Amino acid sequence: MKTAAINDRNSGIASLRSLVSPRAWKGVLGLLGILALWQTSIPLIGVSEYFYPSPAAVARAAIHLVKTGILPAYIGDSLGRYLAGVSIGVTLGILFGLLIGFSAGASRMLSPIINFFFAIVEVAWIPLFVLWWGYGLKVILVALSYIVFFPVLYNTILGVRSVPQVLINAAYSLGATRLQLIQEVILPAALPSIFTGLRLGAGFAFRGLIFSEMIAAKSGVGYLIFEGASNQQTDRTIVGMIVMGLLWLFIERIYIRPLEALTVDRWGLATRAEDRE
Amino acid sequence: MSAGFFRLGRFRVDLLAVLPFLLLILMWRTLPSLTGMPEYMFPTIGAVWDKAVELTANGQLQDNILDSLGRLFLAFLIGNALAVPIGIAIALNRSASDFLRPVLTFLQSIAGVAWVPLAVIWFGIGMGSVVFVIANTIFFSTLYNTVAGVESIPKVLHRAVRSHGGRGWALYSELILPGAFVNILLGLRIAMARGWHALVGAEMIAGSNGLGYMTMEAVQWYQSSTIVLGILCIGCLWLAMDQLIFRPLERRTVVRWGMVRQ
Amino acid sequence: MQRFFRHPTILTTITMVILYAAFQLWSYRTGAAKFEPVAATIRPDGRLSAEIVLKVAPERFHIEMMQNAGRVVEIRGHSFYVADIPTESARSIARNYWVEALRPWTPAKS
Repeated sequence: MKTAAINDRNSGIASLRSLVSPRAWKGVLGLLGILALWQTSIPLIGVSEYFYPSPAAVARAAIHLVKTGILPAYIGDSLGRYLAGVSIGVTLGILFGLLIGFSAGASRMLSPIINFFFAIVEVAWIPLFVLWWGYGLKVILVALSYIVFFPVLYNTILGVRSVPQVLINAAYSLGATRLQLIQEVILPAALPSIFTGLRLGAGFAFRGLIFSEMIAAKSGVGYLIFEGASNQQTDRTIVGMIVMGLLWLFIERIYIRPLEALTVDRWGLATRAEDRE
Repeated sequence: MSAGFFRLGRFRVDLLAVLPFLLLILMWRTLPSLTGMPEYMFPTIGAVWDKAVELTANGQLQDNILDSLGRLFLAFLIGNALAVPIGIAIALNRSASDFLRPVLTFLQSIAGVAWVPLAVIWFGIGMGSVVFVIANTIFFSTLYNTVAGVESIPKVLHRAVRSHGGRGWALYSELILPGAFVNILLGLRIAMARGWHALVGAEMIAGSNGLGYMTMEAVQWYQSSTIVLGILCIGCLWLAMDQLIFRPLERRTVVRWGMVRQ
Repeated sequence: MQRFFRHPTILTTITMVILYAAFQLWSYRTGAAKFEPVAATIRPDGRLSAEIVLKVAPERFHIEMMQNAGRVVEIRGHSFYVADIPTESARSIARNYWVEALRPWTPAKS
């Protein structure tokens, strides 16, 4: 029965099956309950519409934002920036991670200064970037790349370092060149760690995206959240927040988690808690 | 490889590691004049130092730092005081967990600076909004880690305690709290880090004082020296908090008890 | 191979790509139809002026888009009166689903 379950987990059917389980319905009930609570608390709190918008107002605003083409455009802008920033950060993170993880000399030289920059909260750089480049895409891309770079870097280094020396020696003794070693041994072995770093970086970067859009952009989901409040259109702000949450859950569930699970399960490199019992 | 080290009191200084910093300082001194960046865009080291002295002398720097830290700790207290009990309650009660999971997962995905504009509408610009946002961030972070911590206690231990007649308070003091302690403690550090990020961010948008506010406001006045000073302070403060508070705490409790490999 | 395609990530991505492609196709078809009326008014310098009618009341988002495309002379009701739009920009505006129609218009000389 265990093997059947494992096979199920690797196909899409398992996730569909879990959708109709009673536990899932309880969750839906919980969501509806919160919505109901929200709606009924309106007359109880009794403040103006913009202070505490009702679910109905938020729904109306969402429909209006789609009709006017604003929401799809903003979502598109946000996702574009996100993908670009994350790609740059991941690439740089893996490159430097391989370099530092591999070479003790590079590690000695670069680790302290990288630690130093990591301690500086990335959002702290944004004022400087805005001073240099004004408002716009460049600020956001640099900030996002910066945010993603560090977790990916650290986890790549971790992954590279944790490759058992035995494997490296074996590869060399079989006549592998440096490049082949990296491609065939180091990279696959470090991949789970790298993907963990990717997951962390992607999460931080998403929040960073929303934040930098609030400050330095004229479009995007973060900007929507900000603009709604500035114009007393709080229903739009909440639409933005809900879209943000849904977008992140979508990105995480559909793309990031499976990526991580893929390497771990396929190469059997780590035991998951469920497998131990 | 012991070549290239020298001792400076208690610390071993690695000459090789100093190199990038020297390079950075060199770049700082020469790049602006090389690329022709105007003075206001990139302050000289001297300008930053002067600004630091100036702001310390008139007390602004200390005030801003203390304001920021004060908010952080207040929110840290509020957020954790709420999150730990609620987290334990949710983790222990299966049906509560089923009901609330999706809602909490969703709320966690928007925790943090996304709440700033709404907070400003509710609490106005200033301390209230900032504390709310930080507390929000810390609450969800600790909640997640607490629930994970309690859930990670092996079922076999639950049964063992029950079979020995433990219930009520004993259940908590003997089983839940020690078992989840590691996750909760590690979660506190993560929550603090996230809270710090949220603090700086929230102050930039909705603050009326504090380090983040100071750094962001300087943009309007083209005060690049203040901005760089702010960046350095933010970095140093976090390093201080991490190295002086959390690392030692972890070393003394979690690592010492052998629960996490250092 | 089959299991690969049953994976939710692949399924979702393929679905999204198909939907997006279909949407783009539809946008190009309707956009071309909306552009028809003003196609004749393209000037030798490759620009044209037009009345752009929206399905919704203009908001800052639309105003900014029109301002980036050309010179906004007037906004009345649901219509933008924009002068000197490059042809390609006009075509791309027409493709938006919230644009009702493009009508020929010449700015009054003053």
